[in-house]
Amino acid sequence: MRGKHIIFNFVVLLVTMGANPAGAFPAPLNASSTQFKSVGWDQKLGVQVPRDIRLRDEQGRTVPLASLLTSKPAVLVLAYYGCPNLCTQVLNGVVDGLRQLPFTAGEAFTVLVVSIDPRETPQLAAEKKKVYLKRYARPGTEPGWRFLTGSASQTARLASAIGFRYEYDSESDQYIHPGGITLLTSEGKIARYFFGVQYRARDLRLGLVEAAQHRIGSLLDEALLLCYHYDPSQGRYGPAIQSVTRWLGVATLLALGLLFNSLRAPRPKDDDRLWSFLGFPLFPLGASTVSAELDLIFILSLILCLLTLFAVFAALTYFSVRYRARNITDRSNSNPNATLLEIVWTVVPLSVFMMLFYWASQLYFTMNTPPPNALEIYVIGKQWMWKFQHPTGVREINELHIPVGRPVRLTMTSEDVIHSFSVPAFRIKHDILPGRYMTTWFEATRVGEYQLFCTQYCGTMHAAMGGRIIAMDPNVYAHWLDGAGHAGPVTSTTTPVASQPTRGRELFRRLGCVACHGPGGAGLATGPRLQGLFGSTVRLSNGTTVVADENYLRESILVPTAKVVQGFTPLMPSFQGRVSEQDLVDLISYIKALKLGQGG
Amino acid sequence: MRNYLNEDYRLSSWLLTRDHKRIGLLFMLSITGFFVIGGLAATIIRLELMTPAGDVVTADTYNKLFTMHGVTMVWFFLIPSIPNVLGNFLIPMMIGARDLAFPRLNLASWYLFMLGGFVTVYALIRGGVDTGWTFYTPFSTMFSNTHVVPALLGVFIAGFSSILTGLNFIITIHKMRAPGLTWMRLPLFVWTIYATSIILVLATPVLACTVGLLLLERIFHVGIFDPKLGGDPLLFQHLFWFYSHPAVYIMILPGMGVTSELITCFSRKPLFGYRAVAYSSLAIAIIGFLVWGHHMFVSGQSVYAGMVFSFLSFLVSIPSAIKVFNWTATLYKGRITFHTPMLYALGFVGLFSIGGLTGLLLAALAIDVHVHDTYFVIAHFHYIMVGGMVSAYLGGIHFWWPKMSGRLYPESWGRFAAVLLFFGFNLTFFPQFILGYLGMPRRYHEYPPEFQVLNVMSSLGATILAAGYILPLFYLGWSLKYGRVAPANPWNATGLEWQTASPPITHNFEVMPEVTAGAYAYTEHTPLPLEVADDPFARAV
Repeated sequence: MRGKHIIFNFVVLLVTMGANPAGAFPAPLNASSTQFKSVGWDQKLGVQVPRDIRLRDEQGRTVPLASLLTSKPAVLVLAYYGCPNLCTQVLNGVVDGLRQLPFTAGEAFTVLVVSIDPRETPQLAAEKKKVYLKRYARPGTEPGWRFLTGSASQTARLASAIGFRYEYDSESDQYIHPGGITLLTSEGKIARYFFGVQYRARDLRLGLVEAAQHRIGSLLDEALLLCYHYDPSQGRYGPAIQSVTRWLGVATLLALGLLFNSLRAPRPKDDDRLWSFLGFPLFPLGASTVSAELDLIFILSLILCLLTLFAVFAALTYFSVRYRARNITDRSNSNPNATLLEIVWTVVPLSVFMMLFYWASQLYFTMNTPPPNALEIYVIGKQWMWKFQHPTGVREINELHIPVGRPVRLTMTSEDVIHSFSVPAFRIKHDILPGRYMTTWFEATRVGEYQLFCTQYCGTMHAAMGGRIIAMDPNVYAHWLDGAGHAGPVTSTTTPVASQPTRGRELFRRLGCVACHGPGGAGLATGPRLQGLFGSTVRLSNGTTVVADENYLRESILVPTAKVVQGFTPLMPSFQGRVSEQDLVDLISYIKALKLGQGG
Repeated sequence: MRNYLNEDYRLSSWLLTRDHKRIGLLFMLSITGFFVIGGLAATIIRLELMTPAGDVVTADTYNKLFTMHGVTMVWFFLIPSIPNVLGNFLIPMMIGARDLAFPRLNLASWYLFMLGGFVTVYALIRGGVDTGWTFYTPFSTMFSNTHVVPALLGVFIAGFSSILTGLNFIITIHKMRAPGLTWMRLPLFVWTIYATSIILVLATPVLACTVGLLLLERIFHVGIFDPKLGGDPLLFQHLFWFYSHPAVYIMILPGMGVTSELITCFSRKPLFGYRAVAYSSLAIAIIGFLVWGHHMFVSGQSVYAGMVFSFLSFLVSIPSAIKVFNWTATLYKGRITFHTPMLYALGFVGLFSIGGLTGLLLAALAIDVHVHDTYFVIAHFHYIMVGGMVSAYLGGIHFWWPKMSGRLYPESWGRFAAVLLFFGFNLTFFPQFILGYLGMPRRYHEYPPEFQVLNVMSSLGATILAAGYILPLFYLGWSLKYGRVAPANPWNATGLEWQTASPPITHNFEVMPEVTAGAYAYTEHTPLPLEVADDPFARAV
């Protein structure tokens, strides 16, 4: 029952998100007072304005609307010249908006201001024209910016054609009317409405480009039009991305729903490692402290890449269709100036991707910085197997048991060629080189078995050099370790043996290290003290210093002359070839365990 | 009419030719042969990967197959593909010269290439090499028991062919341009070949040194890379990628050049932002030398070095992005026709974009840790090398086929093959991105069963892809005898190579041309490319 409920809610959510809330366009900016109910806008997008409406121009000549439209788009403003407030603001808004555009009135488009007061004369219109053209301050606008008047019947026809509802208020001798302007195509169809008294330059610009059927404008405008679409309910251009994100949101919910569904369904064992859809595995489920963040970086970068790709593919497709040779379309001004565009499409993606660089680098640092007090595991890779050793000395082959919720630091080396330690579920990978120690770390977050791969090609059986990481509850791990160490093998590959330091002490005696470094590594005149050495800073005979880490200890055993401690002569023989990687691990564990003042 | 093909039919006239056009064709034949060998190896690899178990070939054979695939495809197909075939054929004609600066050196370059190719391929086929094309040490020096020495010797020899060709191009482009042909009037194909030649000349010697050091250690046990001998295995990776990363640009820059030629021709427009595109080739050549460390993010190099290399890798994407955006903008207000070469060019832009963007994911440090050495990397570079370079190569071959052969190929077949290749390619390599993020390692002969579905998809795609490659062999071959005779300039293209007859005479031009305008002087009055009358698709668009 609960399941059905969830699905029902989910469907409701989908429907409400996907449905466009502005399905029916409300007429915005209606006069709010009840007295003027009939004042406002009725949007009539795409409707043809009668081309035979006759108006009077500034010289008093009668002109039909058709002759005013010529072949350019037009900005149509209904106002009256004696208007004490709103009309002045509307006209100022038009002038200020148009001043910011690259195209000029009279050249690329026409402006038609028509008085709704039939009592006003062409003389008054001519005066107003002077005032506003001075404010617009661009030469050559005169013939393309008309201030018109007309008879009551003709202006009323025009007003009703564009859905402009106004009333005469005899008390104040004023016209009550809404604010806003209309864009007409060159044929006289209504293309756009912009409401209010201020018009954003971007809205005007894109509106004019579209009203001109793309005959004016640059590549930049075309690019902007891909991102911004006219929103009739708002009377402005809004980012088209809103509708994209809305549907992306729906898609995400749908995906989450399917994920939820697939998690509930009974499934084969593989599925706690991979998320599949219709039998196609699509995403690996993470199981370490870094996996979630790494996945997040990956998915966000992927979205960035998809958006970039979408932009390129959309443009390729659009241009290919629109500018195919057989399509008759406007091709004037086909080589616009490129510099600005080149800078924009270089700098914008680069700065976005730099954030990705920064974030991924930060996580990389975390992934390469083992936290203190991590559980220390030694890893030896060889053709074609993995050997692991726990701090207590328990050894395993091709299987590593670790506790969940505790960082595990791996100190790794190879006996032969380069291998790579990779656990996809933990999102970690690190090459293992012969002749030196590499470290990496992880912290498992979920109990389970995870695949281990060698990802650096290492010879014939490379593909078979795999294994399992078994992440256990800490208590179970402690119990397992106990059992593996003392009570015989828990798994077939586990070798119950003496602990690392014990074996190391044995080697220390057998190889004769005691002779120079003293019992218990307390130090003698011939060899430096080893107690408390690990992690300390050592001064060398050449005056430099070095921190005594695993690689330093390893090198000092194999190539003792490489770094000689200050005050000592290089007497020590090389143990290269006399100790195995396993012996080295044991010796180093022993040296690490030596504390100051400890007895042999 | 006399032309470079019918002037002399004797075999010796081909084997001793100094004509850059004939040498270009010699290269075309030879690399087609190497492509077939590399392709056969890939076929068996894809067949093996149909099932999780290793049931078609043994692990050893599998390792030898992917080595054969990589070595032949990289050194004996991709690197010489566009530079040595189209570059040789076109550079002198595009700049209005009679031949390259050193015609004999050019022929020597082909002989060196063939010698190297035979030595390597003989080693790969007779005994096999199991190191992968990257020859990582100490595996290749001290552990592999296969024929590493002859295989590398062949690569070493072929490297000299690269260096000689690069030198020849650089000198030719500098010294032999026609009167009036300034740098800023050069076709972009010439610019990219110039940038490629710089890489060839500067990077290939590093490969020669690296191979030399590797052979020293392998043969004489001089300790250079193996720590047991006192060497450093990471040193090899640094040296190898110092060559091989720039080599990646050798394998893509010429493809970008071809694409610039095709897109301008079939949209009847000058290239948008010519200058930016020209300089971006040089930028790629230069920055490309500074990013080799991004192959080593999990190798144990310092995290700070990793950060620098990651940053530079993000930077090197800028010039490539500029090119993609400029090609797209070139279509704006053009008069576009969709002839076969244009389909390849559009395919190039799309596939190269995918390859490039996934390159950014790989350049991001933390993401690389997870996907390094997985199929994600395989998918990424095949999108660049195959989706990009091979598309451009085929696009170029179709575009200049009338010039090379004097015949027109059947347009409908050409379009069909181009579309088939595009879909086959995506079906083959897109699933590999997913496989990579799931964690499937590369170079695995067997794999866990949960990866099977995607591998089967990939193998199916490879069959389609193979069909897409075989088709042109047939219809291009057919056109040599039965194709319609080509006019001098079937595409109504600008460019000096179209001002001479198809096929051209041995010395290219009857009268030495003089250049008065920049490349791609297409206007609204330029007639459209030749329409092939019997082509239903041509009428549809």
